[in-house]
Amino acid sequence: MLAFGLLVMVLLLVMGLGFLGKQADTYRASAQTAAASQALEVAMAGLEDARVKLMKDFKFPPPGEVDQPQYCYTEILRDPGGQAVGSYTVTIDSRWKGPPSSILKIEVWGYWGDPDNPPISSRRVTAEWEEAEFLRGTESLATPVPNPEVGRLMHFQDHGGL
Amino acid sequence: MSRLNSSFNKGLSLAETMLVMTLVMVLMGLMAGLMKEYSEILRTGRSQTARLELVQNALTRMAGEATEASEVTISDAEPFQTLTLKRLNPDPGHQGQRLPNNGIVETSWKPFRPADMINVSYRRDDSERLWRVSSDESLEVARDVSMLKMEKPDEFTLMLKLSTAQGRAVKTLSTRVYLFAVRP
Repeated sequence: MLAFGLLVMVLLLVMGLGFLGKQADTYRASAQTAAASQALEVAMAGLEDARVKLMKDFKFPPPGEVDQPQYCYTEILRDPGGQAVGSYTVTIDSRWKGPPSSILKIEVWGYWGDPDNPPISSRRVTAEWEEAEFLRGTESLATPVPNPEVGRLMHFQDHGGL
Repeated sequence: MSRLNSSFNKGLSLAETMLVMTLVMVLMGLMAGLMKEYSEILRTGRSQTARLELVQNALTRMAGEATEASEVTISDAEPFQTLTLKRLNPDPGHQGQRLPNNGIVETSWKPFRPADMINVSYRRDDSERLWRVSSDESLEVARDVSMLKMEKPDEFTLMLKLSTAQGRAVKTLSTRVYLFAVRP
């Protein structure tokens, strides 16, 4: 009888552990989804940071050597309490800066998690910054047509992450 | 001592054994009933979760692609609404040609050249399937979508609402998408 009772108890324990294990997988999957969303938000913060710098600072990105068209920087993102929540790395590619393309290509990697440790998740987004002051094709006219979209981001793309 | 030994060696009588067995059987029966009920709840929950996951994935996909679009239009033509997105061709091979590594593009280059853009549409059909249709493929994004509703209250906002129904239980997921709108 004792052995039978113990057998039932062990059976129930194994079944309980099985259910708990399945729940742990579910919670892990939702935590990963949440972390991926957080990394996207960090990357968006980096994109916004680059946009504001491009808008406010006419010497940004600083001119490099001819064979060094890419400018890259990393910043730590802090919450309102000053706690570091992640970091982003922004790369601004000036290879297409001059006419006729007149765009800057911006790539941002957002890293979610304490910057002193390996990131919990990461995400890559890209966008293009419109630099053309006049509508393309009208620059050579006597009165070129101003480009209403100058200084705006376009072709935003979310490339996913790790 | 001898009484204890004799009581210990005695064991259970037939009546006692039957009583204990009956109690154990009743307990096992109760537990089996509870387990059956629990597994039914789990099965229903799993089925609902699977449906919701599919609908959530579809919603996330639609929202993500709408964010990347340069033009977003909603067609209210009967019987079902269609969401049409004009976006940059995401194919990496195509993007490499659009902005070549040497930085030199043709003189007539424009950021929104029609050759660089693709049209993607999302629509639901009679059999409650949600489709993503582009010029080269039709992809089933989700099943059991009982309702797809889209609304564009202003130029920069898109509202998406998807429902899935199982019996009388209708689950609805909705999201607000802020559009990255720069018009060509």
